[in-house]
Amino acid sequence: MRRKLSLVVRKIDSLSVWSGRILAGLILVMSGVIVYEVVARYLFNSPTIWGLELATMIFGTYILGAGAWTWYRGGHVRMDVFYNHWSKRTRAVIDAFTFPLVLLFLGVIFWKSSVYGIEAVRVMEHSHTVWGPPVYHWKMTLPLAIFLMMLQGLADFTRNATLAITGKEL
Amino acid sequence: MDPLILTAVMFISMLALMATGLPIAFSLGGVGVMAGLLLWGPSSLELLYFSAMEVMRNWVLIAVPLFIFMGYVLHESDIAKDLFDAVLLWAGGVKGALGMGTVAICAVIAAMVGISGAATLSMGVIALPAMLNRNYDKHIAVGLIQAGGALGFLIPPSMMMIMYGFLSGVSVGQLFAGGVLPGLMLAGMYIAYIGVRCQIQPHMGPALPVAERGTFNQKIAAIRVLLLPALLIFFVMGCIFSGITSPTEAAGVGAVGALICAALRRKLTWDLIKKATLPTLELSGFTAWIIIGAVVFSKVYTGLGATAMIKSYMVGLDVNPWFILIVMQLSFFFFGMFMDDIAILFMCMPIYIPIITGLGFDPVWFAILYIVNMQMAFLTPPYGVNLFYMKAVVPKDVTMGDIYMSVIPFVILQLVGLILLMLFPQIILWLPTMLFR
Repeated sequence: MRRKLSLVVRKIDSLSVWSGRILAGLILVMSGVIVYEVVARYLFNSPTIWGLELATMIFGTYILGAGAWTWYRGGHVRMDVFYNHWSKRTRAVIDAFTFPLVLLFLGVIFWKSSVYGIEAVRVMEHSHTVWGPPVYHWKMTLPLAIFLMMLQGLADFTRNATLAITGKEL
Repeated sequence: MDPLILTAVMFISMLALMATGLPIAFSLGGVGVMAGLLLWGPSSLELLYFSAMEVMRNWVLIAVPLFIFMGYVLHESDIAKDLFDAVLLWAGGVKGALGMGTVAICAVIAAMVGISGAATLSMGVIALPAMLNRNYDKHIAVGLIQAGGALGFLIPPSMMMIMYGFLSGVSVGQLFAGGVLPGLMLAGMYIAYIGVRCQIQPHMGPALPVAERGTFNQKIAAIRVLLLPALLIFFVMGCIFSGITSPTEAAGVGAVGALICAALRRKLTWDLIKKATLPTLELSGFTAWIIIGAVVFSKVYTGLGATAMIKSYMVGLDVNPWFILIVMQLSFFFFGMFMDDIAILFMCMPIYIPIITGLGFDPVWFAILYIVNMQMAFLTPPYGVNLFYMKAVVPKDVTMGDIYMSVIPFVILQLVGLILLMLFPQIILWLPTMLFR
């Protein structure tokens, strides 16, 4: 049981790491698109119709998708005035108790974004701009990003609960 | 529910959650969703989705990861070290010159990097040992690096200003312009203080030994390293201030420009890309979720009618508007003692900004006052971010007590600066008015 749990938790960790590695590269693509747009507008006097929109879409995936990686790295900043003075086990107990609230918060966004996302896929939604790219797959990246984040949260919760109950780390 | 009670309930439960060490983003969002469910009903849940979407498709916020990335690339390509080498050569026989030069470097780094702390860390590693080896008093050396490092959010580009722009609807270009003169003013005050103090008490910062002073040719050669960063800074800021590009596009140009700088300096390696992209992603994820949490929180709070009530209550109060402004500044300082600056921004600003504009104050001016105030928070215990950064890099014989002592004169200077900026709003508003209005 313990070994299986530990295996699952580590699999989730590596999923977050991989999501991070892939998303991290998008910043280069985003900068490239923006510079292309600026150069095309000022040097060649032919602004694109897709530059702004593409950059925005990449940004959306990048910044919301970052959640799982940030969580894995412990980058969601907390107020550590008290937290730092507690033992590892106390922290685990308290984190385990506050987790349901996080799950509620993320769960609601996951649920709503899935509803809107699936609807967008059903009607094959396209953007209402001159360029008019498909946006349904982009809308599905939001539930996907939150799913990854909830997974990472559950992995941490499992770790915390194990430490809280048994006193030993997973 | 009475808006005052609602305010108390929402804020106290949020602070209680934060005290448990729950990440700030989730404390804000969690309270938001609970308050929405209990007081508003299930229809409030739609709002969570739209808050996330608002962040996901926001054109202004794109500048955040881009400026962070630009900063990391420049930081990783060791520009700070070259800048300090130039200061060493130029220091000559002037007492306290290394200290003054270090503050100037901090200002330059602040103009390349949109986050605070970057300069404290790199100058703590590079300039501090160099100053201590040359018999600088440890208090002045440690203090000046922290004060200089805190300039990061004030001198544009600044992540803080972009997020304030997102919250308030004020143009990021104006905010950037508003930070320029106050940033230079504070840097100038630190430099003047170090110069005068070392003139009167030469043991605080003795002049370099003659053998170490640079020759004329060396000095000229050293200026070359300044060239690339200076070009990049002027280009990026020029794009924004002249209105050629939006801040977001300028950030993209800056990111690519930083990569080109790194390449020209032969530092553009796979390792650098990894060291710049991964932390950028981490910081971006933190920013995105704290913004979503805060947007949810303030939408519920506003939706329940509290913002409007508090605003009309405060604006209708029979007190001098300056009194309210000063109370707000004190509240920033108070929260800053135990809370992260970005958390304070997202917690207070949705309520404060409508009041400030209702009272007839300028929101750009208010933003800069807030940022200067936060610089004091960086340097004051118990939760002074720069103090921790500093502790991580100082040699063993510098104690936490020394670090606390070292910042006192600089905090006083910051307070003087803050008061000057409150009394003479033109210092902040002159440049944005000239450029944009």
